[in-house]
Amino acid sequence: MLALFATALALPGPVALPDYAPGDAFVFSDGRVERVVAADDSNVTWAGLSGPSYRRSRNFIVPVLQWRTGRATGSREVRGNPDALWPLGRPKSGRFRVITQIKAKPQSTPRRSVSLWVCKTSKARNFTVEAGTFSAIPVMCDRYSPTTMRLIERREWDYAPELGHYVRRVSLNYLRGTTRSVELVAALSGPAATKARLTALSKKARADRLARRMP
Amino acid sequence: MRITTSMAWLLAATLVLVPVPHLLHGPLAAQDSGVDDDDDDRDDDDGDDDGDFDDPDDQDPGDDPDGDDDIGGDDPDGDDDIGGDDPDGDDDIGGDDPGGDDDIGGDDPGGDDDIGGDDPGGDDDADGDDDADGDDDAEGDDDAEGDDDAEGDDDAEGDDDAEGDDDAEGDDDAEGDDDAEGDDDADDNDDDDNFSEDEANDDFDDDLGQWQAIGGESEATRAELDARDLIDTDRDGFRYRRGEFVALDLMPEDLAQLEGRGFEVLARERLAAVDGTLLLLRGPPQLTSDGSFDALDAIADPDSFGYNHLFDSSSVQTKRKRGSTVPERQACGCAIGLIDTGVTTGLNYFKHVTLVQRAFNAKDPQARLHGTAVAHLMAGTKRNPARATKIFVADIFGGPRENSGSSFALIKALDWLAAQGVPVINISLSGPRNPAVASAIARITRKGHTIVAAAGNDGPAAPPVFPGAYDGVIGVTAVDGANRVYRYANRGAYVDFSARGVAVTAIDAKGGVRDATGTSFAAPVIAARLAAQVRSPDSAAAQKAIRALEGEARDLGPPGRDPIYGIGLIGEGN
Repeated sequence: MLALFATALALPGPVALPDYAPGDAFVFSDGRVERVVAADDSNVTWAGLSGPSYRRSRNFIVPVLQWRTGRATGSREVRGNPDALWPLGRPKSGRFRVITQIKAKPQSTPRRSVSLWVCKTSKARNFTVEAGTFSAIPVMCDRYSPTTMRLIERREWDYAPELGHYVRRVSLNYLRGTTRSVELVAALSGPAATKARLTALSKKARADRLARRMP
Repeated sequence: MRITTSMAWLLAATLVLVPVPHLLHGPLAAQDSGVDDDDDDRDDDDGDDDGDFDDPDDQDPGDDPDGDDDIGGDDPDGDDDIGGDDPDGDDDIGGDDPGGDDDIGGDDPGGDDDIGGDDPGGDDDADGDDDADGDDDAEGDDDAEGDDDAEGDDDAEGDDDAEGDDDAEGDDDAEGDDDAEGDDDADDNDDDDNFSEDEANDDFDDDLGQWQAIGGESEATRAELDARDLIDTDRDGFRYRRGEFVALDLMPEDLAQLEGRGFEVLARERLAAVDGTLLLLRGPPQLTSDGSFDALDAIADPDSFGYNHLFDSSSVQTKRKRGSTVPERQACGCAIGLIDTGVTTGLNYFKHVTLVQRAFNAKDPQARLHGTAVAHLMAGTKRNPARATKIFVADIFGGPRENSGSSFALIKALDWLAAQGVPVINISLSGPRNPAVASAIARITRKGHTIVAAAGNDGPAAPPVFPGAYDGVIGVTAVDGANRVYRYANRGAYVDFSARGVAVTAIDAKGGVRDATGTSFAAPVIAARLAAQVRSPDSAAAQKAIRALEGEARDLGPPGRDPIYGIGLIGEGN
């Protein structure tokens, strides 16, 4: 779609955690838009084009740390050091646990659960997505049941250091038996990342996806 | 409890000693024993750890092609039954854990990992955070473009402080400094305030200063003002004046047909250099803009018209550079044109060059930072002994907001500059593809004029922006002092050259010294280099000068031409 043909670059060296700035926005092939509305040294507040914002670590392998869905709220606490994977470069692995707490409504008793995540990185390779071709580092995390150690879920990201974000994200849910994969369609930054332009890109991404599904 | 804790220790020890894959027996779907391993909710077999209340990672927004409000995955589960939709009516937390103990690792004997045990429920604040809505700052913030400084703008409100500084106080002191102390604020945190530790220009990518969006408007303010000024966005999200179209050389019979259908000619300009007639049309009141566009499309040549788009001067980042001076540099020794904001012609910095300005959206040019900085990069600080420097400035932004940066003004500006005989025109603007603008550019390039444009600052995976991406236009990207590409620079096959455009020492409309960042400030380097070699519009001479630059370019990035750096880096030359 886009006349962008970014040529892969050899990675210059160890790749630090992503450094997002307010205004950075990413449009994915399913039409999803993710915009940075605030960022500090550790965490980034994201939002779509409307609706509530949510907070997550700069380290995208860490599940969303704080979110709201209607009256429900959720938060997560991380035990371990997921940042040990960084800087990316040589393949390595790490693990961490996440304690999730959900409240159906403000007065509800919280519901808690624990997940164990085991992650690893691989060597960089070229990924061609709609937004261009990028040298990207595959990062893969598996989530296990903390009680039976069965594999429940796998998430994959292909992180493009030159872009400062991942260009592909895959989620395999072994309980549901589903795989969901989205690719980066476009990224806008600064004043260019207006809602109007992001909405247009989102709609186009959806239309393109529908067109691809048509027989 | 003791037993389960021991089991947890055993499990943890196993985890350490045995590679995890060896513990696995393949995907659960193939061997589901009926126990929900996702131990937050036994009735919810969706494999999440967030039960019925999906977190944003679980969103599946793509199935909503009807363009309703939940695009972008903003309605995480697509229903409104959240909150009370816990099917079993309980919020049980303990029962889902068959082990009765969530302390899986057991690796924290102090007990603080044992959320099931040490925090039996009397304290909801297991993570020390009961503030589930601690992110309230985000939804109240429409300022997504990274410019929180709506008041620290270039003063689009039309008051007297139009000089393009950040002086909200309206201080007009001539020193280019906004207060007596030589500092424009009281705190040390103002991005706009450059302190001495930064004088070595060593902060190429850590703090490039504030965005200078056109008019300094936040997105929310812009939306409000756009509604007032009848400005809409097209299908790609670019702004245009509602119901207005620009057309170049419409066939008389097409125009007659359009007028018969209710189109109105708002303005007509005979363009000598472009060699054509430019029309500003308004669609029939009974039609929407899209309807009018479709009507035009059915009658006229689609390459001859477009919306009356409103271009932005490529948004840039600037940072005051207090106490610094502008490095000495010769003027380009050329005749050159620029389409931009107005320039402060009275500054000492321009005494050694001739500046000619004309406004295309107002009676008089209005000086602002962007145009002044770009003109200064061409003018340098001292006379070029080889040849006089003459800079023609076409201001398309000054004047009524509703037409600021319009395609109509841009085409007229192109024509005027071509009529002045400038061989090279710098356009540090970016916006949508517009057939009428493209046609005007193609016409003057065929006459030997060279157009140099900023590649854009929309981001490395952003769609192409124009005029930089038009065929025949030289697109320029920006690199920093270490020859790394500017983080927000557009990339694409249309990037021809790289030049320094990060933390460039520039001057603002008051003569204050700033670090300026953006492809806007790289383009003038290439434009000036070409203009120094070509004395008049001449295709052959321009091609020769371009080939010379190609030969001089320092290849950056992957070998050969690439979409990030183009052919390579060009220096200032003198």
